[in-house]
Parts: sequence; C-alpha cells; structure tokens
Amino acid sequence: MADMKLSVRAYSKIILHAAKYPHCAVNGVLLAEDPKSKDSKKGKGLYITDAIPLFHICLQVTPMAEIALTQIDHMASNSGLIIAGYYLANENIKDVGIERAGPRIAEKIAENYSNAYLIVVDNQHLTLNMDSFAIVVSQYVDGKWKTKERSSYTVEKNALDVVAGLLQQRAYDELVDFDNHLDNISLSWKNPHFNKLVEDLAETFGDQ
Amino acid sequence: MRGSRKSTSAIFEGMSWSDARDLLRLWREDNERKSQDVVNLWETILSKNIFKLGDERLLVLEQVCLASLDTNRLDIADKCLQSLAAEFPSSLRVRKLQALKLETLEKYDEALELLDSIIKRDETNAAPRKRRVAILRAKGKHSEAIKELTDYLKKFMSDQEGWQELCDLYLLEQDYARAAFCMEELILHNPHNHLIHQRYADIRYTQGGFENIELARAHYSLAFKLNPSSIRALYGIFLCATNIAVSPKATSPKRKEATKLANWVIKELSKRQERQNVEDSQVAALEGLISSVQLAASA
Repeated sequence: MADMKLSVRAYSKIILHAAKYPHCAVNGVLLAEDPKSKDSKKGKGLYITDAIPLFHICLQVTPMAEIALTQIDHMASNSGLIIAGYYLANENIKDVGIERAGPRIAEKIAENYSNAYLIVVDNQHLTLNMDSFAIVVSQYVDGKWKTKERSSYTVEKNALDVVAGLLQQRAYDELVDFDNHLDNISLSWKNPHFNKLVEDLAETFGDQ
Repeated sequence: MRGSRKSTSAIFEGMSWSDARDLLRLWREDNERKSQDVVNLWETILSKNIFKLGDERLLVLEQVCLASLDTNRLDIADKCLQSLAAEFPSSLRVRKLQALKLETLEKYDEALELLDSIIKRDETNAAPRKRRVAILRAKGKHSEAIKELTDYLKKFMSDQEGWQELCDLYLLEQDYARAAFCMEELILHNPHNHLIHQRYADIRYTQGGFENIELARAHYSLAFKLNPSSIRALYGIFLCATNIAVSPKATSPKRKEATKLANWVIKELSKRQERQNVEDSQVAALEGLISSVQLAASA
C-alpha cells in the first residue's frame, strides 16, 4: 500500500525543470490534495498532483523564496491543495544530497505540513529515453529526512513515456519557473500551457 | 499543437550566414551561455561558410568549441580544436581549450596537469588558474575551490568574475558573511549595477537581524532606483518593510514609514500587473501579509 502517489504532471515538471537548466541547481515545491478535504474512501496515501518550479538562480538566498511560498500558499488554499513538499536538483551531476540548496525552505515546508516529502533529482538517471525514475524520495520524520523505499510510493502510469516525449520535444523551453516570472510577470508560474502539453501527451499514451 | 513556440532550428531556418555570424558575435559579447543554439547554428549554417567569416573565424571556432564541449558534441569540438591547433600550434589559449576538453571527459587529473603547465609557462595568465577552481568545484570540493580562489584573488584583485564566483561558492557553503563581503567588493567596482545591489540585499536579508534588514532595504531601494522595472527589488523592499514594521527594534516613526512603504509597493505591483495584463492578481497573497503587519505596527 503506497503512502504517496506522484502525478504525471508533477513528475514531468520536476524533470523538465532540471533539464531546462542543466548547468544550475533548481528547486521547487510540491502541491498535494489536502488530505483533510478528501473523503476517506480515497484511501490514506498522499496524492502529489503538481509541482511549482521555483528557482535556478542562487537557491541559497531566501527573500524571493518567501514571496513565492506566500503566493503559492495563497493559490493552494484557494484550490484545495497544500504545499506538501519540496524538490531539488543539484548542480553537480553526482550530488543527491540536500545540504547545498535550500534546506531552509524544505524545513519551513515541514513546519507547516509535518510529513513533508523531499524529492531530489538523481541527475545520473536523466536520459532522453527515461528508462527509470530519476528521483530519490525522502520524508520528514522526527526532525530528519528519511529516504523512502521505492515500493512506498507510486508514480502515475505513463509518466516515463510522457517525460521522454516532452524532453525530446524540448518542451522545457515552455516551462516557467518563479525566476522566469520575476523577469517577466506576464509569464505564469502556474504553467497552464505546460500543464496542457503534459495532459495532451499523456492522453496519446492512453490506457497502455 | 505546440502553441507559439518554434523549435530552435525553425527559428534559424532561412537565416543568412551573416545574420548567424552577427548572432554569435552578440552572444560572445554578452557572454551568454546558449550552447545548444550555437551548436545548431554551426551545424546548419556556419560550418559551410566558415571561410567567409574573415577575422572572426578564429573567435567563432573557439566559441563553437566551447559550446560543443558544453553539449557533449565532442565530434565538433575535435574539429574546432584541430583547426585552431593547426593555426596556432604553440598557443596557450588553444591549450586551455584542450584542458577544457579533458574536463568534459572528466579526466580531471590530466586537465589539472595541462593547466599547471600553462601556468608555469605564463604566471600572469589568469584563465588556467580559474579553470583549476572550476575543476575543484566540478569535483564537489568546494572548500578547496574557495581556498584556491582566495589565493587567486590576492594576486588578481580586480577580477570581478572571480569575486562573483567566490560569492557563489561561499553561498553554497552557507557562509553568508563572506559572501556579502564578496558582493561588497563587486559594489565597489560596479556601483551602478542594479543586479549586484539586489544580490547583496538578498544575502543581507537572508542573514536576518534588524541591521541586516535595514541594509537590505537600502540596497533594494538603490537597485530599484537604478532599474525601476526590477520586480525582485520591489518584492525585496516589500519584505524588508514588512519585517521592519513588526520589529521590536524599530522606533515608532520607522514602523509607520515601513508600513507606508509596504503599501506603496503593493500599489506599484498592481500597476505593473495591469500594464502587462496579468490576469490573476499575485498581489492578493501579499495583501494578507500587509494586514498582519498593519495590526502589529499599530499596536
């Protein structure tokens, strides 16, 4: 019984954000359906439905992160979602640690949602064909981030095919992160256009 | 449908070789890292027209070489290196490119040896010394990179790229005080650069504490004065103002001033959003912060 399910949309945005800035560290937040608003029939697991890409420039300073979290929180509570976690891709290809980029943000998120998830992109598994999931998932337990076993979470089906397709199309050019938004506020960090791309591609894979 | 975005090769279709050359020149001068685009331009247009470029040929070869190393196109990199080496067999600049190729192949020890030989030949040559720092960073050895870079900066004190890199390294190690110091050096060199003031303010804000936040506010304000379209500076002013307005260390007039400032920022942000036709209001979220600030400031 999986504790957490990651949607195609969330997984795609995480991977494409990392692919868009191969020479930078990137980060973002994970949004999930508010467990309090779900009816109990749906089961216990946390459903992470979306990811909001945040920064690729200077992840260690906090002011823009505070602005971003305030705005995302506002949007989330108006949409029945919660900020349930944080994702990160380090600049160094072999680095899957969390010390370098924004541990503060992750802990701030964990303050508000006690079982927050942390996803680190495993850069070495990023390929155009996406044969395996390129993520390492941890959860905040007793004040520490504990790595989760692969079996404790599921990723929505067709995610790998969709991401491979998006990478080959260079769809990351259309992904907007918060830094892009700050440079041009007419670009929306909610990414309605990119979300549609993901949906359309997922549909073509249908019920394989 | 892919919407309005064209693939990069589509943008370059029908481009003349002289336009391609001009584009590359622009990216060279602005020091932009558009490696994939450079490689595409090379393959589709310029490689056939290389001899039409005249004096720029060698600069373009170097640029394409760097871009192809960045995008793992070692085939192209090798061809460029061959042409350059044939032209300048004993050039240290070409040797540095060869060291870069070794870096791409992750042959860091050989690269370091080659760089050391360049440094021996010419002690005043800054470029190979900086590559050494880059290699240490690529290996994840940040504290060694910092040490090497600080030694470098003792000799090459006005190298702004070096100070910027050192600031980045200190931030990666979360040594905010030293990162701020590096930024202060950069401010001395570039007092009119809004980005530097903004980054300095970011660091001070991150450090926290009343004095740092006041300092951050001063620099965000300066950044905004230098560039009134800087949204980051505006948000920065807002954050500092809201912090000051609730700070026990602030005197009452300061708090009132800060609240006014925060409200002013909200108005400015709304104006900009209207101008750019941004549909949903990002400002609503911030207004929530303002109201909590106003409650506190009037207490």
